Amino acid sequence: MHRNGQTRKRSARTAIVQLVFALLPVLSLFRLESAGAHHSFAPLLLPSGEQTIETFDGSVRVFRILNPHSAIIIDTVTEDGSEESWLLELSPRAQLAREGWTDETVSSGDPVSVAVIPSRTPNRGRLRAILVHGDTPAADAQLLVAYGIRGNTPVMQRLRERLPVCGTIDASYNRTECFTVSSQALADLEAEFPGHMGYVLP
Amino acid sequence: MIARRSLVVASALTTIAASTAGAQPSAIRDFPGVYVAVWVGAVEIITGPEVYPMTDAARQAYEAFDPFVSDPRRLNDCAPEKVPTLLWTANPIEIEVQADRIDISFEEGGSSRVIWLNGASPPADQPYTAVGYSVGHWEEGALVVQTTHMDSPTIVNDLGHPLSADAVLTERYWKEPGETTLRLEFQINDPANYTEPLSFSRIWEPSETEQVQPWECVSLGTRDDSEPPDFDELTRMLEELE
Repeated sequence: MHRNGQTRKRSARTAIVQLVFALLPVLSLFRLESAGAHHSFAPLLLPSGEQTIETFDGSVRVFRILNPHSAIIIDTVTEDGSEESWLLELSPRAQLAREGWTDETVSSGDPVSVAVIPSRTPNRGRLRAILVHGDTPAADAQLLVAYGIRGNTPVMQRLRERLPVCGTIDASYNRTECFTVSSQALADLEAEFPGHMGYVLP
Repeated sequence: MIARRSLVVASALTTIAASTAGAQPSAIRDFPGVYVAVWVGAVEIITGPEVYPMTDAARQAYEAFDPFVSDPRRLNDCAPEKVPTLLWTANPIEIEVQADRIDISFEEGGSSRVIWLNGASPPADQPYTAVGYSVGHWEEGALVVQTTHMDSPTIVNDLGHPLSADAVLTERYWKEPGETTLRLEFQINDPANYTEPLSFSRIWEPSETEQVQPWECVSLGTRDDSEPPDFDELTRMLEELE
């Protein structure tokens, strides 16, 4: 189902509670890191103080690597059939360019599935992961992972153990990474980690 | 560990007051260059107190702090980066040493600091600025910097620990013999908000391959908690960028 993202139909949309306090061993570093970069980001919190992660399918309207935040706009269709767009932020241009990203890493019209950390601004958030589907169902996809996954996190370890890297990202910075995902690998991931984009969720 | 750091910095501060030493040639030779954040399972940024010894007023300000309202970056992505927040940067910095000053260039925000080595006090009409007014001196191979006039309402952007106009930031940069790691211990003394000085530390590694990249800032618009972005306008703006 997720390989049909080019239809621009949102095949699934989930809101998943990220149990921040389950991440206590890394929480202090995360807080300090978030203070370190520019980060004018106020995550959408549940009344309990927990962050959420949303996933949905859509297509890329525009992508630019910029300072202080690179930007991607995704068009999607809600469950009631209405169209909506999302502005998703990534790391600054200076850093992404250092890691190998360009304005062409993601292209307008690319069918994608995304995992998003929503902010308090409606339809705006941070990109956690983006799966850029291939031109055909049999073609390889590319999975780019960013906020919340970068570093030596369990999700990054999970992906490194199962997927080859694209070779386009300098992973020595331990920030973003690109994985090549064959149709079989995607099916295996979806079976092992159920739910829409379950393979990039905590 | 926190107490130990406090003692180390307190000792350094005592020495600062008594020091009349000039620059240490070996230290000056070792300091210039580009430095990058260190990866130790996460980007090694800063160690600091687990509990901030706040005054009652500071506690109230901290609890009332809402980054969505109080951080100027919510309205302007390109608002200046500030000291002391800049000390947390995960992006490269470059240190240049001159006879009477040290320049620290930060990739983040394209910010820069001048640390005056002439020992002069800030002028009477010194304004409060994003990076404050810094004076420094060399002390047994370490660079010790004292900064005042910081125009920053909080210690870091998003976390709400208040900082008063009278706060004093003291930094001590050094390298251990035989090491290339640049070490920083810094202390924030702000009695209006904290009943004792706050001590932090971090490290950088030198890099001969990295450069501080230019930082042309593009705002993605204000952040409103009730209205989504204007996607048509934003798309036009992004598509027009080269």
